[in-house]
Amino acid sequence: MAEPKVKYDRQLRIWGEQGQSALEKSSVCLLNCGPTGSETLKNLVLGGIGSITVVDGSKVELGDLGNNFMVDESSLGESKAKCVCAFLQELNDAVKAKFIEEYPDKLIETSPSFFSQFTLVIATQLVEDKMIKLDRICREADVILIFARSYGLTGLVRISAKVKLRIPVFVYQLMHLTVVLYAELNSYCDYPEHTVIESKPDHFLDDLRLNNPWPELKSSGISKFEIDDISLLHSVNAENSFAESIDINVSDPVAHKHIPYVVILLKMTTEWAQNHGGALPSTREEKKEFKDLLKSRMISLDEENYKEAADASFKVFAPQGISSNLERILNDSCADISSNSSDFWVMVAALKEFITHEGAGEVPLDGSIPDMTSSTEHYVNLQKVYQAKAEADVCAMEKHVRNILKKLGRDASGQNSKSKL
Amino acid sequence: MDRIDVTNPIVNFLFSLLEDVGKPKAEVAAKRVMERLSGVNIVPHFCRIEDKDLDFYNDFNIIVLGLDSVEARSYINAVACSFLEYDANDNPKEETIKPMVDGGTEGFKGHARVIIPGVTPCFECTIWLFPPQVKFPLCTLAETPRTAAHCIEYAHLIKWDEVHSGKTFDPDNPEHMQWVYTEAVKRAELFGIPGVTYSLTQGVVKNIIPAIASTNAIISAACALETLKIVSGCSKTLSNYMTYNGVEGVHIKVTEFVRDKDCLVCGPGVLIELDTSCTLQKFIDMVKEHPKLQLSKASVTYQGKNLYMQAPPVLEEMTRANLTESLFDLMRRVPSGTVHVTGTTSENGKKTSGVRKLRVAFKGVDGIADMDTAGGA
Amino acid sequence: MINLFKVKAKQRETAENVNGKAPVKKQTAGELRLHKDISELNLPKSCTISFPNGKDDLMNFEVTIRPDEGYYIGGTFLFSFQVPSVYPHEPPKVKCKTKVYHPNIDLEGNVCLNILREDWKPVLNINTVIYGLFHLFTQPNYEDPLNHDAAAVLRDNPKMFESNVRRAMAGGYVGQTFFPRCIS
Repeated sequence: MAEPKVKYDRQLRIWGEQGQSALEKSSVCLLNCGPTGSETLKNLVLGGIGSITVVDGSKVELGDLGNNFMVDESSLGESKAKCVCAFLQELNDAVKAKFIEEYPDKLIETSPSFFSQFTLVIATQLVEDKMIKLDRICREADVILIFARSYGLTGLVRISAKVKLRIPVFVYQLMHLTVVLYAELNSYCDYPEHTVIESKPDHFLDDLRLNNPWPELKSSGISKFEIDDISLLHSVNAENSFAESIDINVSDPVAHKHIPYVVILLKMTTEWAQNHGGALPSTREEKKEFKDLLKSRMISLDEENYKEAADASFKVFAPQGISSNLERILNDSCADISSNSSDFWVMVAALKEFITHEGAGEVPLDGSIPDMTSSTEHYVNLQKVYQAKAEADVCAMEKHVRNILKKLGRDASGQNSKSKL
Repeated sequence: MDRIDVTNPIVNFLFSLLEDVGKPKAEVAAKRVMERLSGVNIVPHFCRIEDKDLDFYNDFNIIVLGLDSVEARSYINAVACSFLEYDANDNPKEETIKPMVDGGTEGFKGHARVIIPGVTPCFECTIWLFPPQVKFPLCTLAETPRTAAHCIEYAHLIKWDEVHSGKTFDPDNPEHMQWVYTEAVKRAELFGIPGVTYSLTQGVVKNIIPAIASTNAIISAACALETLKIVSGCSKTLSNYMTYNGVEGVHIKVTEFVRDKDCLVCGPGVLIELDTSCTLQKFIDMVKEHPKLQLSKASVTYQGKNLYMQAPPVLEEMTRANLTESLFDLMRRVPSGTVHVTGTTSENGKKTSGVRKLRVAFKGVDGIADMDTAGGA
Repeated sequence: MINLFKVKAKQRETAENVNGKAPVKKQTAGELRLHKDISELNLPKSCTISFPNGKDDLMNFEVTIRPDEGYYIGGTFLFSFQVPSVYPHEPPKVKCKTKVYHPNIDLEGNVCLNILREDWKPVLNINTVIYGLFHLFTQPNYEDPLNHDAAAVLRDNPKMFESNVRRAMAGGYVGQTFFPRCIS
């Protein structure tokens, strides 16, 4: 038997072990196991969802054989839920697979409490009045509901959710195999109040803080004698400023072309600010002038680091502080936490504290930096400067979370406060 | 040609982790589907796509691609387009069109496309859609490594050859992979670089594409549906390239790419009618004078055989003797065929070079009659 | 709508089959582009090209460089080229088959030339690559080293670098490494 780590290798590369464990903790209920529903579950079972419960009251008929891969001739006359469940179980023995031979319509009418045990319910091929009833039940029980319906060459998928979830990676798993009306899928992204606090974006604008460097970073771009000149800078701790020795006017061409662009930009920004009364380039002309200034410091045409600096110069001009989207969340009334606030809103409140205090208007730093032309030493040291700041920020966040929980009279030990918005 | 490995079953439900690891994918998939569905006949071919000749592919109505590389797609595209014929007005002859349905995924993203050679862009018309692989400079690996991937590629591309002179690195051999990983760790420690793991080593060296069952299901469903529409004619097909992105929310976009009119693979080329007595030299002169071509200094190639090369001198010498032969003989007496010529054109005094596709037809040679004669001879 | 049944009805055979010969393989767009590159080669006197597999295999060839100036004058250096089928989407694979004491070529024959890896673009061609290789011999540079020791010597002591190159080319040791003779 293969190790889960090996077996799930291809998807762990996307959502990591945290995502996988969230998937493994989830339980999903499927109403009606026709082709749409069965194929949906297949994709979840392969990925290793925690448990599935298949609800269907019908028996396998001849007509099912042509459109549902999960049943075959030997299943004729048997419970469809049972056959589909048995097939799915064979695909992955790590999944707990159960079936209930019952018509979903009846369950909705007679046992509304049945649905509260699940993380998520997938309802396929239901009629409208039953959908409305089920929606009400699930909203009351804080269970996410996904409706799916296919009809010939069209179909629709719709999410209905009231609850706040941590990592709904498996939501993406819920696409069904048969036919989907692609345009309808766009409705997918409108979760009413769906909060994702940890995701693994595959491309993002690196947060280098070139527009608002913290003191230790700033000092990394400035050679020693100039620091004495700029007394308006925050007090610079000599131990923290690794790159005081980096002289961007170094004459050795090899050293010159291996200065990381981050250092070049920091240094040139300081120089610019000195000559412009402390202001950064803001107009189009000034930005162009700034880029020209960068180019003028090149000592040969093939200096990749200077080209990278010019390409990344927009990061210097980027507005400081937090985005309007984040601001909206911070100002949400839920951020005024009470004893029954969810973990998510506790985190938001802590973040708010962080931004006003340690963050000086910025969110905690992510700490990762992209690869760039550099000598190994400069790069590794630069990485350390970003890492140190990121770690300090996480500590500060943890402190805020703990304080808030204490105020609310809750146990702080179980909190995973390392997650970052 | 692939065999099933341990990471396949979680994205392909036809494969069992317990029974199938190490078996040919084609055989297991065919067997599983036939076990399940009576009356379905699937013939597995456990071989490389290049191992099959053109006739093999010509026997199918449609080709569906589940390929994983630019190379393989480019090859099958060339095969499918080779069946395509154009009439005298440069319109594709319907009965020679071999449609392809192509799909591919990477993590939360995927694409599906329909290629109707002669009608919609072929793979080669839009090859620029595929970004070239990232390649680190060797001197960065050797001198200024910064990331874990640099350390891994150093072990893989430089250190391996240094230590195992002559032995080729096999990415499927776990011992080889372990060796690269160990060396990468040593190098990372030497330079104080964090992040080398076995998993990353595999990812970098084998270029492992992350995969999830759902994206594969969506893309394969789209491919299946388009195939169904083409063969049944029940509805209009995708036109002609769909991208799916499920990273944040879901975004699906269909783009109607346009053909490259001068595509060497699917384009009509220029029709030229010749006497069977026309020598290669005379043909080259004609190409220079032809109003649609005006290619001077032409080099000529036919089905991978270089009939005449203007340069370099070594090849010019080897092909010079062909100049006095008749093109009909050089093309092994086929009634018509496609040749490619390379040469320079000058427009307004500006010289540009290019490859052109020519459809050569020999006057007075009837295809069928000629074959009959050849068969009877 | 395409009529697929018509497709099926159409019997098409190539002349090769009629003559009982092996069916042809498809010529890819990459091979055609390479055909263009090769037929337009315009090499300096000091570079020659050869095709070990005959005139119809252009995908594998060898280039011999005999520098006529600089440190490496008088030497003969052989490079193998392997061109991938998706050329020019991917660059050719080039190795130096002659063991050489050179800052940008390591002892296994790996060559540090930007256009062979990170800076390859489909508009470049075989001619550019050969010129690039040629320039490595007239202007070896210590800024992008693949042979660290040779680069350090070139930077710190060009005279010594020159004598090391002469010794290596004549067939002899530089440090612990033996270089076979490559002067004809």
